[in-house]
Formats: sequence, structure tokens, C-alpha cells
Amino acid sequence: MNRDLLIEIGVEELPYSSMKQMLGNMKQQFSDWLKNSSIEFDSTVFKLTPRRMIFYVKNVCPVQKILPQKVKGPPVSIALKNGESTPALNGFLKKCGAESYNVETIKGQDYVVATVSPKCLSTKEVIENNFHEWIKKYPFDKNMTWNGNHFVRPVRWVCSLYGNETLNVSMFGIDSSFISRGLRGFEPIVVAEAEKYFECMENNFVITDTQERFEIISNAVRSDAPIEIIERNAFCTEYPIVCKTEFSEKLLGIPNEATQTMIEDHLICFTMKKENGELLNSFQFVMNGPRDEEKVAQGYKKVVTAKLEDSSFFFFQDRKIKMENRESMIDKMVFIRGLGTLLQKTKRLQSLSTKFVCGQPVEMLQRAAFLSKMDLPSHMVSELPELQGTMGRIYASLDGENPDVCIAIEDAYSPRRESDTIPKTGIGATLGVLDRVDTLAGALAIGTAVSGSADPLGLRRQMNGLLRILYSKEIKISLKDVFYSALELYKKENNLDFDLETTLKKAKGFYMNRLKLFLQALHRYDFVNAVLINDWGHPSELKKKIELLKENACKDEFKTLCESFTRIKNITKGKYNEQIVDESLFEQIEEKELFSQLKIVMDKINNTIDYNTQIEEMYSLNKLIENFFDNVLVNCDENLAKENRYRLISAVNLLLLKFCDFSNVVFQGGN
Amino acid sequence: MKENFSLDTLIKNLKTFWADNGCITLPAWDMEVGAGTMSPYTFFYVLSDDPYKACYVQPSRRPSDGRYGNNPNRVYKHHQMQVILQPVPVDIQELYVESLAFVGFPTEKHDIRFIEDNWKAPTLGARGVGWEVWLDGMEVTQFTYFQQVGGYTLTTPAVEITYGLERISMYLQEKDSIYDLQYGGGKKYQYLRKTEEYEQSMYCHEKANHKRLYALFGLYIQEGEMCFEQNLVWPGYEYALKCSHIFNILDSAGALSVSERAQYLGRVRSLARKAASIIIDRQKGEANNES
Repeated sequence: MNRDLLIEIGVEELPYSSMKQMLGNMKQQFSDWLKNSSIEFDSTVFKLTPRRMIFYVKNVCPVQKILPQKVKGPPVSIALKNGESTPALNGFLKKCGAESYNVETIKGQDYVVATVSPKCLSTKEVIENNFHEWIKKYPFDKNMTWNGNHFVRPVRWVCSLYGNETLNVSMFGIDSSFISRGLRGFEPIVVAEAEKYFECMENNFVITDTQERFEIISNAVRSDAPIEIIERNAFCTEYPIVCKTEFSEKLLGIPNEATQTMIEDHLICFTMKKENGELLNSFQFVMNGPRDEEKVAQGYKKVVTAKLEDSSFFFFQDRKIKMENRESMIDKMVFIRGLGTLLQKTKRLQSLSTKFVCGQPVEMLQRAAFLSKMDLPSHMVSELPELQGTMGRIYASLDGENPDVCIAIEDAYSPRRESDTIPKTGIGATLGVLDRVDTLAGALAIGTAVSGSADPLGLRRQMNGLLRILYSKEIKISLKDVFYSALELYKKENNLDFDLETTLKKAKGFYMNRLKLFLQALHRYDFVNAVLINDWGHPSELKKKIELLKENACKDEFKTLCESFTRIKNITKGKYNEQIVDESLFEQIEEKELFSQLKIVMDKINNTIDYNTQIEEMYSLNKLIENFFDNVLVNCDENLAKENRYRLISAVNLLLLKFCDFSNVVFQGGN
Repeated sequence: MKENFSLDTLIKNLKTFWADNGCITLPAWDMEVGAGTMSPYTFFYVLSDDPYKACYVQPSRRPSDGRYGNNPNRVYKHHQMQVILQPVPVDIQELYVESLAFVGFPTEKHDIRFIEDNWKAPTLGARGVGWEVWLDGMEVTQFTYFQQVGGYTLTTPAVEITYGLERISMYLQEKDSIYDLQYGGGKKYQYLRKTEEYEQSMYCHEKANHKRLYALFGLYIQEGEMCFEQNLVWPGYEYALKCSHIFNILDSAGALSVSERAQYLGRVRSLARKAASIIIDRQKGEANNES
């Protein structure tokens, strides 16, 4: 009779990331393994709590089901002599455990073929013999070692049943049984049969379904509570109960951001808000299973109060010195060893923001640059570094600075990480660009190398942030100029000794390398290769070109243009003759026509920045290029005419190259 | 306030509990350390594969936490109860939870949570995986399976349980300030420690002579290296501890830049590594002699 199968692995608390990993693919991998093990079943269930991995299979066949297999034996000529079985045939049949055989023709020769029914093991045996080997091989993101064992975390019990039969699934020196454990501090749970397992767990305060735990919490907290905090609680409890307690109203005097960071990010509790969005002096915490709620609340209250009291002390200390009066404080803080203090960085940022205004109101940009690092010496930021920039905005705003300036101070930090958005304001984005360029330029000037896993100053992150801002925001800036200016400032203001041209070259190499990877993550690689023709290309310009290529890729005229470009590139071997075309040397009408149209197109392209118009103009050359190649022999005997024709076709490609290298575009089905 | 909730009693109870579970109770290491892990009673013995069970109270000095005796929660010097178990008993988490019940926190009443926190001590070239233990939201213990010490991957990783004694005691005694704790014998924490906190903070944050400390750091490094050259691992390691403490003072005063910091850390670490490598070589030697 088919029964359900349970394997519960009891572990010490699992890491958050490993739990996510398992929820992502364990069920599928488990099903695949069962199928590969020839076990028949209806469906699998995989559940996870911080202390147990639950593998459950519904309606499992008691024995393996392996289909009979054909096994090729010796050729008939050897197997049979005068119609009699030879020892060779007998030996083969014995080996296969078969009594009869067939004859089949394989590649023109007759062979003896036996049909073998492999021995089917009981499901019990398969699980007992192989399950632990399989689970040990699962590629956990975080493995550890204890007492000679390797696994994600130490295994402390295994409960395994097939129907009402206890399985012996031992692993890591732990023998399995029919006994599971309850919540910590609760009685062990006897599981009489696999089918009763989930009922048993529910009755003993263990909610095995992660989603269910998530919903219990999310239904009890405010609707805009951070998903991540709900998730972290769902991942570290087995029976979440959401409770409430409060702290002294006096502690509401500090900025909400700090209170929320403390209560939510650090203590994984939930702040509570009034309808108007203001914070209340109460919060919610999640209790794991039924405990003495009053006692637990007392603990949480104590922690929150202590943390908020600390913050409150820091906040009022910080407020004693205005942001603008902190120059001497940031002059004591090293920016990057060898690159001076934060005050020096601020001065460089101010210089850069005079030179590269990028269409922003210059006074506000300057002010934001001046104030941008002034929150770093605050107590609050040294306590909660994740609030740098945010405290800057808050303190600047309390000092009565212009609101746009305040917002820009925080905005310039975006994106802080990959999942972050880019700056919302123009001033913030511009400051963000200048700040990152200054850091990158300085780091490269002192010879910081980025290679493989070595990136001591996190320059890749800085560069990616820079690229993301430039890609999405319309910031008109010459990357070469701003890097050059930044390097120049290090030379002049910091008296840093380095070779400017060499460093600029390094910066260019790093920039182009990251730019290519950045664009390739978003677009077709051939489009990216096509548009990356110039050093220091601006991401937002490249984006426009790539999008245009995408739109045009299916058009015949586009394909023709690409083909012509490639043909010219091949004839000239990519070495374009840049000398001026001599019209007097033209012999054929097709040369003249192509050249006169080329001049018109050149003129139009040079007078528009609209890429769409540019590409339309290029199309007007298609027919003429075709006529030219159909009727004119480029490699003619006459040397002067030949060279002039090389100049003409070179001129065509040099013009097209202003847009992109069309030879890089790949067409499906071969080109 | 019941006298049996004093800090003294807490320590006595924890020692009793672990002694009953097979640990030897050792004295604190008589030098400045930043954490109980740095005591040779942990560092030296976890490098060996031999069974080892020990516990001790270790005063831990963290100059950057010095608050002149004004902060109710943070102090220059606090006390850790350190428990080392090698190999790790299979019921180690249950044992730990029992120990909390033994000192006054029965788990059926309190929420004891193990929150992932992988511990690292760069000066010791040590790292481990484990948890911080939350007792009703309060971080009271660091629970770590050592994976690497002195840059060596351990073959028989030990478990280290570090109780924050003042914190647990404050919760037991329902005090909001560390200085209001009953130490025992009718004396308050304030009486015993407040002046010390003030003076240590004053020294570390304001008065320490950095030039002399830099010089001492250099001298101690040299002395330590000389010891290792002479195959004297115990005194050599003690000089690494001295360097580590000086580093912490300089660091808390903000005297070190980012790269100086890395460089000084590196020098302490390389001393600690030397100690570890000598200990490991000696073990190999012993193993060879036995076979």
C-alpha cells in the first residue's frame, strides 16, 4: 500500500541566506532525486523552519519501479553453434539473470539480446541507504565544520517515517527515530505515522510553512512595514506571536529615521505609526511561541529604551554644533590614507562643482558639496553608519539650510547598493557623480589596483554607482574632463605626486571596462560592442544609440547599411584613408553620385544631435553604395583612381563610424 | 532585591553549572585583553585536537566603549563568562539553554532566539560561525563554532560560549544602569568600578601619549618576535596581547588612519599567527614522537 514519507532534519538555527536558497530550489531537487532513484510518488512537499528541514512525499510506492532493460549480448555467430547454445551464451544469460533471449540486428549484425528486470529495492532501503549522501551534496551557500562533520549547521535529530514504519536515516552520527522536537523548552513530539506529522506539529506550536508564518506577522503589523523585517522574523521563529509594548514618549524627540533604524533594522521589531504617519511611542515585537508575554515585553522594552536613550544623547550632542561649523572636525578625519582629510575632499568637491555645474543652480550645488561630509563626525553616524547622508539631510534641515540642498546631501549617496534607486534630484545626482569621480581618481592616483577579488576601496561599487547615475540621468558632462580636473586637483591641492597622464589612462581603462560590463548586463552584446567606439563614451548617449539599434535591427535598410559598412571595412582591412577625396579623379557617374550625396549627409549629420535623423540620413546612402560596388572596380589598374576610390569608401565608413561600428551587429541566421 | 541575584551569584551559578558539566574553572588571564577568546586558555587549547572543557570569567577591555562612567550600558571594561567545549557535545544548545534557566531565565517563560552572527577576530586570524543569542530581544551571549584560529583551519572545531555578565545581571536585577547593579556583599557596581571607568576613559580618549604608545607598540612587537625566534611561544603571545591593547587605545582615540589601522592590525595578527604556527608544529612533533 502506498504511504506518505517523512524525513525531518533537526538542525541548530539555520542562516537566513541558506533558508532562502533552500526555499528556492530544494523541492525541485528533491523531486528530481526521487525520480532518479526510481521512486514513484504523487507529490513532494518541502518546508522549512529555522530548526528543521522537512522533506515530505505524498503517496509513495513501497518499492522502486525500474522498467525492464534490454542488454546486448554476444553476436549470434558466437552465441549459437549449430543451433546449440554455446558457453558464451549461457554465461551471458546467467550474468543477466535471464532465461530467454531475442535476436536483434544491430548495425547489420545479429546479436543476442536479453530483457533484464533489474532488482527493485524497497523505498525504505533506497531512502535509508542514499538520502543522507544526497543531502550532504546540496551546495549550501554557507557550510561549517563541527566534530569532523560538514553541513550548513549541526544536525541534532532526524525524524523519519514511511507510513507508520520508522526509517533508519542516520547522518552525521545522529540516528533517526519517530520522535521530533517541539519548540525550545517544550516536550518532544511523538510522530506515530508520517501522515499525522503536520497535524502533530500544528498542535505543538510549530508552523512549518514559512509563508504562513510570514502572513501571521504581516497581518499584525502596519501595512507599510518593511518586507525584509517581516521576512527575517518569519525566518527565525517557528510560531510567531506579534506582541506590543511601549517606550517613554520622551524618546520620540530623535529623528524618525534613527528610531526606525534602531527598532527595525537592528532589533527586527516594528515601529508603529499614527494615521498621519507620525511615530507612536510603542512598537511590536515577535515572540517565538507562547511564553510569558509580560516578561518578554519587559526585555524588549529594556533594549529599545537603552538604544533610544543612547541615540537621544547622541542626537542632542550632535545638534550643539551646526553642520557648517564642522570644518575643523572633518579636517581630523582621514578620507583615504594618502588622499588627505575629509575637509580636503570637501574642498575638491567644491572646486569640481564650480567647474561642472551640469545645469544645476550653482549656489545650491556648491552648498550641498560644502555640507556633504559634515555629518560624518557626528555621534549618530559613528553609531549608525548606515545613516550617513540621511543624518546630513536631517541636521542640515534643522540648521535651516535650503530644503533642496538638504535633500541633495542624502540623495548624492544613492545608489548605496545594487538594489537601491538612483538620485531623484538633479543636484543630488550631480554631486553624486562628482563625489564618485573624486574618489575613483584619487584611489587610482595612489595606485590602488582592482583585480579579481581584490578591490580594497570598493572602487567597482563606486564606478557602478557612477555609471548607473549617468545612464539614467541626463547629466551633460565630459567624463574625460571631469576625471582630468579631479586628478589635477589632487596634484594642486593635495600636492599628491603621480603621473597625471598615466593615471588618466588607467582611469579610462577602468571606466571603459566597467562600462562595457554594465551595458552588457542590460543589452545585446553585439549592440554594446557596436556603440563602444569612443573612449569615455557617455552612458546615456550610448543608451540612446543602443535603443535606436534595437528599433532598427529588423529593417532591411539597416541590414543593407551594416553589410555595406562591413564590405568597406573588409576591402580597406579597417585601415581607412583619411585623405580628402579628389573629385577630379572620378571617372564614373556612380562615384560622383555617391560622393555628392555623402557630402549632403555629412552636413546634415554634423548639424543634428538627433540620432534618429542621423540614421535615416545614412540610409539614403544605401542605394548609391550598392550602385557604386555594382559598377565601379575599386582595385583598378590606375593607381591614382584606385587610391581615390579607397578615399571615397573610407569617407563613407568614417562618417558611419561617428554613430557606431555597424560591422559588430550580428544578424540571426548568419550574415 | 534578592541578594541571590547579585552579579557575584550569577558568576557563581554559571561556574557551578559548567563545572557540573565537566568544565575546569580557570582564573582570568592576568593581562589586558579585548575579549575572552584572546586568553591563552582559549587560543592555545582550541588549536589542539585534544578534548578540552573549561570556563573562566575574563575582564574585557574595549577602550572605544569607554564613556567616563556616564553611560548606563557601555563601559571600558566589562566581564565575560567564557566557556570552551571541545569536541562539541551533541546537546550543546540544550545545555546552554539550561544554563540560562539555571541562573533565572526558564525558557518556557522567556524567548531565547539564536540569530545568525558569524564572528571574526582579525587580530587573532580567527573566525567562526554561530549566533548571537537574544534573550527577550537582548543580546546576552555570543555562541560560536570556531572554524579558524591564528589563520589555521581547525580539524576539531570547539564551541565558544561567551556570556555578557553585566547585561544578564542587569536583566536579572531589573536595573536600567550598569552602575546600579548589586555586585554582592552589599556593594554596588558603582562603588567598585565608576572611578575606574572615568579614569580609564579619560586616559584612553584624552591623555594617552600616542607617541610613547607607538614606540611601545614597536618595542613589544620586537620583543614578541624575539621570543618566537627563541621558540618561547607563551611570552611571545603575551606580547601580542600587549600590542593588541595598545592598538585598541590608539584606535579609540581616532589616532589611526584607515591604512595605518590595517597595517597595525596586520602586525598583531602576524604575531598571533606565529604563535599558532609554533603550537601546531609542536603538536605535529608530539604526534610523530608517539607514532
